[in-house]
Amino acid sequence: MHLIKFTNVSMKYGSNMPVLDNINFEIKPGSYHYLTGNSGTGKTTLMKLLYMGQMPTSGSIQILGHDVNRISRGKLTKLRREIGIVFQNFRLLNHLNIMDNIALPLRIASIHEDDIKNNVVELLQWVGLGDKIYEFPESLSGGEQQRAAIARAIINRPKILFADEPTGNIDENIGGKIMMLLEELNKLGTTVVVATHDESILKKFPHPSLNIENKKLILQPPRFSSEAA
Amino acid sequence: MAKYKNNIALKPNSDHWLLSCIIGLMVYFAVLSISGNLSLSKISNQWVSDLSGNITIEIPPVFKEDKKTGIQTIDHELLEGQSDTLIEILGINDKIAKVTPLSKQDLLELINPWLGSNVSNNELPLPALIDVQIKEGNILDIKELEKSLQEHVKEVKVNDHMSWSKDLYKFTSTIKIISATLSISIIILAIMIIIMTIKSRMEVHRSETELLHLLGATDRYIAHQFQSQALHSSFKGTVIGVIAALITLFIISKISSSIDSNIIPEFSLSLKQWGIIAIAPMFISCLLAMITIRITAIKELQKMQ
Repeated sequence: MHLIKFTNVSMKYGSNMPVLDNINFEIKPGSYHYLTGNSGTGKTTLMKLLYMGQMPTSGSIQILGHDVNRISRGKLTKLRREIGIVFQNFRLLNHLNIMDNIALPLRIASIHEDDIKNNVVELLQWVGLGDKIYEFPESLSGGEQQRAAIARAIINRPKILFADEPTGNIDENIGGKIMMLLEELNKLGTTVVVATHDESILKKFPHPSLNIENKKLILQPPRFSSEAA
Repeated sequence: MAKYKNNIALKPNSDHWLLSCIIGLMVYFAVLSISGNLSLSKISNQWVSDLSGNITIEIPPVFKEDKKTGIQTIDHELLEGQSDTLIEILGINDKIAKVTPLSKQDLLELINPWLGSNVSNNELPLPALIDVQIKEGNILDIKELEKSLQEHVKEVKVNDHMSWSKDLYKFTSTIKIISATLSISIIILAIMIIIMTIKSRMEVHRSETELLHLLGATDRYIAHQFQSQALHSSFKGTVIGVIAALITLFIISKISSSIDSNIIPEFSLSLKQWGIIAIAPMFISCLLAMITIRITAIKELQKMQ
């Protein structure tokens, strides 16, 4: 049983050398994985393949039982609603307040406005932004924007959450709180994949890693687990 | 409503105004062209209806010479006598409804647009004209009539108005076709401009569009975001264009009614036609813009992941 399955997946841009070459791995429901590797090794490319931001050059990707290479446009839209994404640069819409930013996935899914408001207010309190509902992203700190981005990613109660460098733009203390949020989500049953190169995070919150080296993916056990304990 | 709340950062900037201005200009020219067409139809129909069923009898002027001075002058008495004879003959024809000789004053009014009002018909070699109205449903053999009249007045000519009206009709039809072609060209140009504007706007908002896709938005949903914004710009432009065109038409109408001329026909439209000109372009241009924007946006979105 797997939520995500990559079979012989390769990715290259144009006529260049492949960024990822013949990648194979599976992710089981309720698991928590890190995606690690040095800069320029293809972490972002793999992340984009995971959240269906692009399609592979070759190979098969199965997500929640769908072959994403062969999926229809309509089904792809529905499948994307089962997935939450936290982008490295947050990608909040600056002209919308926090309430409307978080509500975006629900509005896209045509959820009733009353339900939207209740859910958003409750979630914002959970991520500690209860008093920032009507503020605009630019007036929030990096940590607050990241929490808002997480709230938007999970408002639809997704089965899988992808977070690309969620602590990349914020200080260590706030980063720790963000990671605690992701831990809690995982405990509630969400499958989590976090792309990071932050060693302290790997040490503090130990989980298996999918490490990219020389265009190949190697599954590594939780690192520094003894220190974290 | 919540479903289509605008989520894309499309702030009103110069390209919104550009689209409004372009649409406004297109609507302005289209309205002028359409109303010109309507007015021309009205004028040509009026010409045809005025001229159908009428013929004109023309008796060329006859000259007499003063024996003492040797100067030639028009023999008005003879001309009037010839005219009376022909009126009598025409009056007994059972296919003719009415025979009306044109007075000296009528003749002067006819030449007034060309020669002005300070001309006396004694100075000009004007023919005598008789307006003949044929009974409805009857056909008169013009050549036969002319032949029979020439037995009494040798130089008389019979002019059939239908041959003039056919030429006029041909002329106005040509202008109407040119005007319709112009209107269609304007519409095609407007559609092309809308397509280019939407494509460039989608390029500007590529990041937001990509985000909405990743959040599970359908192409229809995203297209609606662009549609509502562009429709707003189109509507603004249409209103401006229609108002400007109505003002222009009103001025043309006032100027044409103040000109006392038989050559330049008065530009006038019925209340219904004014209504059509005011409302139809708004409806048509907004509908056209909406369909164009939707199709363009969806086609562009389908190219994306």
